[in-house]
Amino acid sequence: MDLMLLAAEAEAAVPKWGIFVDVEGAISGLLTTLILTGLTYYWITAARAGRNIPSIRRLPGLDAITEAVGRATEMGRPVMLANRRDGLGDVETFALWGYLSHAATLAAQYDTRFINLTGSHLVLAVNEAVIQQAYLEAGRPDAFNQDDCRYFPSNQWPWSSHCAGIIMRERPAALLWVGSWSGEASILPEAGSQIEAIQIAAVTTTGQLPFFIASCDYVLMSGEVYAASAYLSKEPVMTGTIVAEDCAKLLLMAIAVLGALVEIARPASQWMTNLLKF
Amino acid sequence: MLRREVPAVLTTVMAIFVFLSAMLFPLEEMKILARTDSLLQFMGNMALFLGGINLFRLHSRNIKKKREYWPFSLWLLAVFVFFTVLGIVKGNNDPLYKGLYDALIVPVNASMHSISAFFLCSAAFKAFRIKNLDSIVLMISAVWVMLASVPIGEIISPNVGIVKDWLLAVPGSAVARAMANGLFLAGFAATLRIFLGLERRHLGQ
Repeated sequence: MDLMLLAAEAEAAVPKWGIFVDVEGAISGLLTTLILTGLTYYWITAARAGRNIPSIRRLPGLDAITEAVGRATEMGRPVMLANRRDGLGDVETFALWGYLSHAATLAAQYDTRFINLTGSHLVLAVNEAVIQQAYLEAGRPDAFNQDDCRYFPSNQWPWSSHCAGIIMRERPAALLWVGSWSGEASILPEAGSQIEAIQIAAVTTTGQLPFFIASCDYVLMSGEVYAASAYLSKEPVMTGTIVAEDCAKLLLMAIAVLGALVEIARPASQWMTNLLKF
Repeated sequence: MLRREVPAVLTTVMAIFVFLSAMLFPLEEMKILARTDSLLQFMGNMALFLGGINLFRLHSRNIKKKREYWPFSLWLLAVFVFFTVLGIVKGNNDPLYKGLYDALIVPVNASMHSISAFFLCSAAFKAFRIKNLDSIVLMISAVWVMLASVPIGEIISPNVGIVKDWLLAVPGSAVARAMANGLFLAGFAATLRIFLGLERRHLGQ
């Protein structure tokens, strides 16, 4: 019994990393947030003060949206933007609204029919408002058609067959795939290829990227997907947030290299792993 | 003002609240989040209810005016009413209710899933077409991984599997992790833009 008590006392205390209770990664998360917020504040201030900040490189996928809507106008066929599984609170959905607003405004300006299909009834309500606002800003509120803002429950295969059905029936000349996708990515872009639509994908799920790369004309991947709003707005303040993100990427690369060197030099210490868990 | 500023202020306040909560306490202990979740659930259910009424109105109009594809509207309404009544009367654990669902939806889902193989072949044909050095490397790697994933690969040589594992675990995972890091940072920056009220597309701005 005494031995057991001694052993219990000798056992190292479990570190409590949270500020009040045990939350793994709380401090490192706080530090990451503070660093990124600090960088963003610095670059936004620099942009507001009129100082020169690096510009965003050209993203052909985003520039191609104008070309795709123009092509649809010439062919007299609609433009369609689809998103299946991202919900109201997902960051992908906020990115989606950037694409939706831009593409709907272009479609309204060119007097081209715009179809939106989503898998979330809550997102549908916001999508409708975003598209309506885009038509209003383009000076064509009368052209907004609520029936073209469509919802279908997000169950994977029924949604896919519904979406493929719309593609085959309505034959959109331009297709935009935005957000996170799963197995349906193997079917839908191929259905788009069959009707020879120009296809642009902005995909956040790395596992499904190959399907989009094989079938689409332009693919925005990884961080590019979220840069749409900043890129399309061309506002220096928004660009500042992207520059801050790139600075954080450099910092992350430095940590990765440092971590690799430390782990090679002292494999047993796990210094970097513990630091990141802090 | 009410339409634009209030949602933006609410977004920032809630973002600060959730962020601080995550730093101070485990989120699952926060009862307030459970309350917001049930509010979201309530909103969702109300939307579903309204959606049901809207669906009924829209398809009744299709049938009344004999619009294109009106028999499908009739079929949809028949199934909709039948399943609603059956679910309310017998409950969703009833063998008939579950059996009908399993007999209809499961085979249809399986059929949809199985046809993805044909679409995959068509996509693979395009991706593996040799145009330049990159596509040669891609095609060789893809053929190697496919060969190692079927029994004939093991028969040819046990080393086929070793190379496949290396391809997936080293170059494949390195690229996937680099992309995941980029996604995380970009997602973080996007969240920060919403948090600071810079991004307001969802408010129609």
